[in-house]
Amino acid sequence: MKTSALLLFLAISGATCSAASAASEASARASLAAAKSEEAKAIAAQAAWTATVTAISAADKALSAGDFETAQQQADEALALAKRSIQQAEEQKSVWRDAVVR
Amino acid sequence: MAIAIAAIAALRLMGAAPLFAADAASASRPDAERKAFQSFFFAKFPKVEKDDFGNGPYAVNAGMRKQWEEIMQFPPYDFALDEGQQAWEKPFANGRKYADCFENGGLGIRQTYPRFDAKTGQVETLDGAINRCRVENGEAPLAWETGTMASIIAYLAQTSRGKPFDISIPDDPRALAAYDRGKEFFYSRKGQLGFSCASCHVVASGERLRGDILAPALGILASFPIYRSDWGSMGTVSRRFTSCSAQTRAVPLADQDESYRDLEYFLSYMSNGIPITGPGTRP
Repeated sequence: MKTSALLLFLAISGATCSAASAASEASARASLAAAKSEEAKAIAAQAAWTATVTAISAADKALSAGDFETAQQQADEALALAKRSIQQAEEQKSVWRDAVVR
Repeated sequence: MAIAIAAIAALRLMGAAPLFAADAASASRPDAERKAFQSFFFAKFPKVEKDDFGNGPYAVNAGMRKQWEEIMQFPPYDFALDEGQQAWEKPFANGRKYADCFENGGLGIRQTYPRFDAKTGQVETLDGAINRCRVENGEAPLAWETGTMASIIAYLAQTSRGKPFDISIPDDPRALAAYDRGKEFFYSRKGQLGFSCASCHVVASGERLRGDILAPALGILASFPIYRSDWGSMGTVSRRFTSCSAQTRAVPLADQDESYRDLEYFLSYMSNGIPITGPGTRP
């Protein structure tokens, strides 16, 4: 009885872990795709940051290695950096005039 | 009168109205902006002679100047001058030479670059003119940042030493637009660190950034190409622009990207009257 219960527990745990891994991989891939899309916009606006490139590269590497937690973290960071870089470029479209030597 | 109003209205509908505004501004605005720009640096560094601004940090820091004067007993760019002259004089496979592509055989003209090219509607740097000459004569273009390109420009710059920057903005709205884009680039903060060119070379010029003394923007391109100890080799303006971008943690643009050419146009125009000192050397 005890053995059966243990086997059942292990089977359920394994299935749950596998489902969780699949979910985090899908999430990481989606976040990385979003980060890459935003980074492409930043590059087009000549506003890209090197830190975004580094984070995207790290996310790609982690994803390939099956380290979905790191991939998710790096993708989230890349997305945030890319958005901030675009925001900076948008702000500077008017703010730069304040710095002109007159 | 009614015909004139109708004509203006028609041109506005065609989107030509901004042309008039640009034409009207082109005669005087950049000139006034250059005077204000130069006056800022003359006031900030009252002891620096105008002609000395082409020497960058050595003009504004006595300690660095002393070191530089000792370095200049054996200028580290000397090898590039020899290499540049040899490359310049070597005929292309078709028998023509670089000199055939430039007025006065290319000698004593560095101070007039970059130029606005009415044919392309874009700014052409001296680097760009050199590679255009090569391509038109069936040769592969040179790499932009160092090597033979830097050596050739070093040789040409030396033939212009003492000649003041003489950049013109022709009466063409596209030229004024290029100047304006260069100005915007110069003053816009970029990169994760949020630095603009002006952050270092206007606001903090003459100050220390770690071990470096920040050169004033006025005359900053007069000494190019430069032998930079940090690089251990010669570098063109392209190399400096891309490395500056990276230092602010911005992804550098491609060498000779239109934005960089516009920036060089603006900066060189701001330095009109400052003599060429290149090739130069930097820490």
